[in-house]
Amino acid sequence: MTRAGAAAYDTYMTFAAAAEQHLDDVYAYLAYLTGDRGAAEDLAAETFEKAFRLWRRFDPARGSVRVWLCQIARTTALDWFRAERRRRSRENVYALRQVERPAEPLFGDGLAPGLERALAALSPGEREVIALRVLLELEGRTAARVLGISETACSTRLSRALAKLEREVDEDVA
Amino acid sequence: MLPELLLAARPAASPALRERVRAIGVAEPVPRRRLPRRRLALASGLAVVLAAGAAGLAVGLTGRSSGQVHYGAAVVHGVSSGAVRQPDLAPAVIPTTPGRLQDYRAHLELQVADAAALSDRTKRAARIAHRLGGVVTKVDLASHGRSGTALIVMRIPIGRVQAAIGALGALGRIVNQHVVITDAERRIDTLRKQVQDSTGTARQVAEARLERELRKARLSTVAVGLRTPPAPAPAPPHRESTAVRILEAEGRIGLYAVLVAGPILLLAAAAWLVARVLRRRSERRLLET
Repeated sequence: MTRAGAAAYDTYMTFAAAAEQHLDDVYAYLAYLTGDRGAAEDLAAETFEKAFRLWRRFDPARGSVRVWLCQIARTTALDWFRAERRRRSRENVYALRQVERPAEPLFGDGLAPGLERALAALSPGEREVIALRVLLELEGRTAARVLGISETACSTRLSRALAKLEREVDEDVA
Repeated sequence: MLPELLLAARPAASPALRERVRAIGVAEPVPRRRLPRRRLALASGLAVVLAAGAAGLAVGLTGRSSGQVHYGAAVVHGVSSGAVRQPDLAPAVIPTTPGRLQDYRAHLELQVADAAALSDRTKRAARIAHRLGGVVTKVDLASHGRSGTALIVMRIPIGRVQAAIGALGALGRIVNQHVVITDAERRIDTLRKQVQDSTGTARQVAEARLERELRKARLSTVAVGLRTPPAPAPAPPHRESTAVRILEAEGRIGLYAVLVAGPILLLAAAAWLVARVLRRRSERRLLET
């Protein structure tokens, strides 16, 4: 679907339809970004609550519903990261970060454990760009818009993130 | 290879989350279709500029009344300075009343071509006075460059004043004339009675006064003012210049607004940019750990 076509489609899309259609995208994005499925569920719900409140202000001419939802999800996640940092700083539990990781898969159903560990070794920023470009298959320009950076920077960040992921997988295998 | 693996194992929302999100959108809000802000701002800016231009042109081109008032003022100015040519006046040859003693005074203001003509017409005016049996009582000629003025006052026998005014009026273009005729019969009758009633020195004084009044009544006073055309007045403003003036005023107001608001806007933009950079740096640090 072209951008204009998507905009026209989004114009007449209801919130319920948009939520139904893009819930998995938002959830996958948040799961990669936070590295915490439980938090991703809560943040996804919070994202759609915010989106519901802001739905009247959504302008299809400025971007697709999916990008708009991802932007809301990112803002919500950043707030969560800040709150987490404050909490960890207060509780001084940085050391617990590694041992707190649950045994259940974090980033996908059926992913190899080595790949799970490699993804966990990436920073949230690196996982974020992989989520947008690989999982959500956003164009470079659109992903850059969500991240608030240039298209070139987005491309560079993706290359480095994938290279690091490969290194981590290789090291895990070795 | 890796991207395909990641895509194939993409995490999906749990049924519980799906139900939770479905519950959010119970009261369905309708998205509001809004005009794009940038287009709206651009269109508004263009509309303001066009309206300002149209208003300036409309006022300038249709405001004929104000333009004519100004032009009229220039015309009035032109009359006094002689910048605008008006129809030539014919000499006002007002005949005397035969058989009555009158005090006849005439003043003609003539315009001549240049300083050379001014000198020539002054001489010719004196010759006319002499030819008609009159005398020149005053000549005042001043010239500087191509311009100048002259005043010739002459006494002309009352019987030839009409010929004198006709001849003098032909020396240049009449731009102004003034004739005053005052009946002197009563004043002279009074003097005559004083002569009859008085004796001795008083009679002599009365006779001298009577003689002076009779001489005065026999000669008219004709003053001729000559002058060269004044320097050309500045061209009257065109009607279009009113529109230009309005547009200039609007431009000045716009410039002042930019000058006043510019630094504030620049500071605001700089503050916004700094805040954005700091926010992005903070976000990057947050997502790097």
